[in-house]
Order: sequence, then structure tokens, then C-alpha cells
Amino acid sequence: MAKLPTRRPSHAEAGAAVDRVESVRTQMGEPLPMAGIGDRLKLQLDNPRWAQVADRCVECGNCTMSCPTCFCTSVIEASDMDGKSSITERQWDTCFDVAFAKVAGGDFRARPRDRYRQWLTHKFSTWWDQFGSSGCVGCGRCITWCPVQIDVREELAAIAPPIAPVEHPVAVEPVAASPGSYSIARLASARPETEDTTTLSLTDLDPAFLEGRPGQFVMIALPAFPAVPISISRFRANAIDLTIRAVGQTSTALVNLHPGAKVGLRGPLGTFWPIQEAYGRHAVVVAGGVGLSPLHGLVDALVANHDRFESVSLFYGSRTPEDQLFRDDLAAWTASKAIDVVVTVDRAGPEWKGRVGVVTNLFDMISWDCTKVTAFVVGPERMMQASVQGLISKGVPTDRIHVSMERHMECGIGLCGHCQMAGRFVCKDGPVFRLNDLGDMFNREGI
Amino acid sequence: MATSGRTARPRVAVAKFASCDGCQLTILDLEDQLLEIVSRFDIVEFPEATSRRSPGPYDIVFVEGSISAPEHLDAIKELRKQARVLVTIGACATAGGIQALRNWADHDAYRAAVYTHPEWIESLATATPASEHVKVDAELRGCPIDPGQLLELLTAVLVGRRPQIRDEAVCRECKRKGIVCLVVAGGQACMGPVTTSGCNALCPTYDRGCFGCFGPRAGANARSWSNGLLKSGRPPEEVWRLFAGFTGYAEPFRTVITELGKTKG
Repeated sequence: MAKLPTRRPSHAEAGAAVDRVESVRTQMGEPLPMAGIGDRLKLQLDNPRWAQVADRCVECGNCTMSCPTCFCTSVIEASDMDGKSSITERQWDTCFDVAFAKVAGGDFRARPRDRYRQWLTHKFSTWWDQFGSSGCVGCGRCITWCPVQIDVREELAAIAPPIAPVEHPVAVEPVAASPGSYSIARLASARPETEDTTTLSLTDLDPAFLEGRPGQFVMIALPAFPAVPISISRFRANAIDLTIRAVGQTSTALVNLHPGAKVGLRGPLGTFWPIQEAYGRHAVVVAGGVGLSPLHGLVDALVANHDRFESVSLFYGSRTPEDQLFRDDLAAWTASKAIDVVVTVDRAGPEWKGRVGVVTNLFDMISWDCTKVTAFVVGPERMMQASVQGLISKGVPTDRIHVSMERHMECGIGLCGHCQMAGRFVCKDGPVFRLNDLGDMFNREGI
Repeated sequence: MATSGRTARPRVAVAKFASCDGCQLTILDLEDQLLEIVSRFDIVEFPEATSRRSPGPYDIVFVEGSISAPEHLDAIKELRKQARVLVTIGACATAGGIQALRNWADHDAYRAAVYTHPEWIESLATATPASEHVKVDAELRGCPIDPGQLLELLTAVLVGRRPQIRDEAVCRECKRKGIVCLVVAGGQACMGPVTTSGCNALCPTYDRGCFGCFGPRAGANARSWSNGLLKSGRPPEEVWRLFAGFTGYAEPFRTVITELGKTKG
């Protein structure tokens, strides 16, 4: 810039610049009443208009692809036919893609109305929560390039008409700029947990992984396979454990690796369990199925420090006795007397002598003052909803309940946008959330 | 059959039904990769490349063409029995292709108009995709298929993962390539918003609206798109032709075409 020849503008030029801005303002017509738009939209998540506009929307993605603030990408592992090496490529993507929010177990935004609502509320509402500003710069490209003439101004006016303005005292850290690079780790051992789930112990690690905290996860990749997010289930002296259920292409390839194999790791990523918040309180861990995996490291820490807590308990439900993870560890924890371990299964054969029923039934055993409980909950989303409901009805405060969420992730560092959940990147704002920070997003379909 | 000493190369067959052979030619057009492909795959049956025939079973069968003649009905079932993995390639095999236009027409009248001796022609009244007759494990779309997608599928088979083939609107490829929208700026008819990608926006690159040869993408809102084209002043016949071109027999295009046919009268 310093090398460019410059001069001060003449009065006429300065005046022309002001006139040009004014003329654009006039051309834009009646501006959308923006005051409080973020909060107005949050009150309208069940508005029937979402389904109506989704009937018109062809989900071509022209709006997102021409939007100057849309940043979502997909991450592809391009490989040659050998599959020995691959190149990680990022490509512009759009949240209107049918598979954008899909994970192995299902699709978080299965309906077109979910995807349209995601886009519009992101631009005009949850962007404030993420970045402290509007996600719309007013350029009008999404209106210009929509082939079916959807006008976001009309939709916003119909869905969230003006109400009294609300201030937005939001300051959020900017999105992570580091692209993240892989370090190589070596598979020390693979230990089957159940028919479809295996624990991998990884060693020769970048020291950063050993300093990770329970609740965090890693992005793990093999050459030519898309990377997947996996929770760290256990921290060892020179290794970390990842407990992986073979549900997709990468996870299946991972559980079939032999000791000595090399894998690519990025991390440790995401938020962790705030264990200190349970000091002096009853620490209650509620796990469903493979949800015990991200809680394993937490339970290890609770057991090791059990004298800091009023009590420590683990309620663990799985579908059948065969689906239980970490059976040796469950036995060891029980034997330690540092934690009350209570397990239940949904169904079992006659050889099972333990409890049968859903995990929430176990809450009837709680005899303590539940206002003094700090709870940590992970499992399938429906199980988490039922568990949280059960804990709240027992009197556990909502700011004392912590959950870990699952979403489709491709980058793990807040760049690709796939994991967004109503203004939060599950990869970097989560996966561990305080329940009342999620508000009513926790129980809502299609977020 | 004898191989060059290598073991466990997958046995591959390419089979054809009613088609122009353009998809088979796409395989042969992979000139830079052909040696690499044949060193990893044992291609034992490939009518466009060789008249040598080899019986099944096969690890992978690539099926080109629609089921269009009476003998095809048994042949596709037999191929399925011989195939560990059956992959349909191209608009004809995946959607019935341009031949499926007759599915909305009077078959006998067509035959009489085209052939001097229609009684010599034995064909079915409909042209249908292989998936209407047998289980299909994977599809490569397009007229013809895209060489990049074919290579990715072969790579995925070797590596043992699912192919990373995107199912998204052609509009995405236009935007990534920086092509100005032919619909909004050019007033052209274009099937891009409802058609799955893979061609790298070939037709729009040359200023022609998308013909839809890759077929409907997942979740395609075909009804809204046909309404949009009608509202922009295009007559129902034109919108009918646009949807019916290459992949019209695939849902949800098929429903839109059938409904438009009624308004056409």
C-alpha cells in the first residue's frame, strides 16, 4: 500500500463517494428491521413458515455459495489407487446438502425445513452468538441468485416480525485459524470390547495428546479414508485409548488394524469435563451404550480423586450384557470402593442376574440431596434427553448437568461447519456442554 | 483363467444392455490409467474392448444399458447371480436412459414409425433401469459416466472403503468453477438445481443449461423446480421435455413428468 501513489480526494470526489453510498442505500429500499432479529428468530423455531419456504426451496445452494460470509466446506481424502497416501482437500460445501449433518446413526437435519431453518437462523441469529455480529452483510446475492425467487427479507418479515429491540452484549473469540496438522501415532494394541466395538491403544504420540483432558476427542485418519472424530476413552502413561464402534468405512478400517500400524491424529480437540465443578458435591455419571467411552477418563479421574467429592457414582445402561464396554474396568472400579457402580441392561437372557430396565430407572436409588449433584451424561440422544429429564425432576440444577453431544464432523477445528448446532461448533465449543448453555436446543428436532 | 502371476486381482466384467456404448468407451478413454487398472483388476469380460468371453462368477460387474428387450430380463438376473458386486453405469442402466421416453408413449406406434418391418423387432414396452429387476450395489451416473468418478470407485474397491462420490446439485460445481448462473443471469432452462453433480458442470461450462443426464440428486425438489420453470413463462411441453430427457424415468422426475403430461392434455 505504501508504494502506491496516493493523494487526498478532492471535495467533489469525497462528495461523490458519500452520494454513491446514499444511492445504494436508496436502491436497497426499506431495510429489514434488524433490531433484535437474533432473538426474534429464536422465538420462532416452530413457525409453520419454515415448512412452507422449504417446499419452494430447491436446495441448490446458490444462496450459500454466493454468500460472502458462508464458510462451510467438506474435507475429502483424495488418494491414488494404492491408497498408501492421500491428500486432504477442502472444497466449498453447503448446509443444504442432504448428507451435511449425517452421522452413522442418523441425520440430525433430515427435513428440508430443518436445513432451511439452519441456514437462515445461522445468518441472522446464531451468528451473533458465534461471532458477535450479523452473518448478513446486506449484499443481496442470495436473493439475486435464488432460481425460485426466495427473498430472505420476506421470509424474515413473515417468520420473525419486529418486536422491542434487545441488546446483544456478545463477545466471542474468533474462529480458529490454524488448519491443524496430523501427527503420526502407532497402534500398540487393539482390544475387542463387544462384537462391533474395539479399543485401540495408540503410542509414540505427540506429547500434546497425553496432556489432553477427559471428554476431549481426536480426529483420526488413515490414508485415503475420511477422518473421523473419536473420544479419548483413557489416558495412560505413554498412550491414549480410543474406543471405536465399527459403523462406517473409516471406523471399520480402524478396528481392523494390526498392532504396529500407523495412523494420523489431530488434537486433542474440544472442551472437557469440568471435574472441579463437582468438588464437594455428589458426582453422578450417567452413561448409555458406547457413551461410556467419552466418560471413561472422567470416571478414572473421579476415582483417583474420590475424597474430593461427597460421593461418586456411575449409572451405566446398555442394550444387552454383551453390549457392555470396559467390563474389566467396571469390575475394577467396583472393587476400588471409590465409586458406586450400578449397571442395567434393556434386555438379557436367563443367565443375567443383574438389573433389567432403562438407565433412568436407576435414579430411584438416589437418596441424596439432588441440589448437591453434579451430573455428567453421555449416550444416544434420546437416552440423554430422558436422563436429563429424570435428573431435573429429581432436583438436579440445570447448570450442574453436563452433556457431550455428537454431530457430523469433518475438520474438528471449527472450519468446515458441519457440526454446527444452533450457533455452536460442537467440535470447538463442545463436545462437552453445560446443559443450560444449550437451552431448548437440547431437546429439539432438526437442529 | 491365466493371470500374470499376480494373485487375488478382482475379476471384473463389463456387460451391456440397450445402450450406445459411450460408458464403456469412457473406461477405454482412461488411457493414462489403463495399465494401472489392468495391473490391479483382471478384466475378463468387456464387449467393447474384446470379443473374448469369460464365464462368471465375477467380483465386480459393471452394467451398461437399460432393460429393453425380452432376453434382457433373464440376462440381468443371471448376471446378478454371477456378480459379487453389481455396479450400474450411465443414465441407461441407472434410470432407463433416453430410451425410457417410450414409457410414456405408444410402443407399437413408435416401432411402426421407425422400422419398415416392426414385426421383426422384439422389444419391451418399457425401458427400465437394472434396479427395477435386481439388487444394485452401486451406481455411477451420467451420459456418459465421469472418468473421475469411475477411478474413485475403483480406488475405493481396492482400498476397501465407500467411494467419496458427492450427491449435490450441479449448481455447486458451477459456483466452484465460477460459472455465472445460466438460469438467473441467462434466462436459460437448466436442470442443475435438481440434478446430481459429477460432470464438473460440463454443459453450463459451454453456456448450455444442464440436461439432467446425471439424474435426480438426493432430496431433489423436482416439483418446486418445475413450478419455477412454468412460472418463468415456459410452456408445459418444454418443461416436460426438459425433465424427460435422459433420466426422466427416475423418481422424482417421473412423477413431475407424469403430472405435466396430464396438464399437456
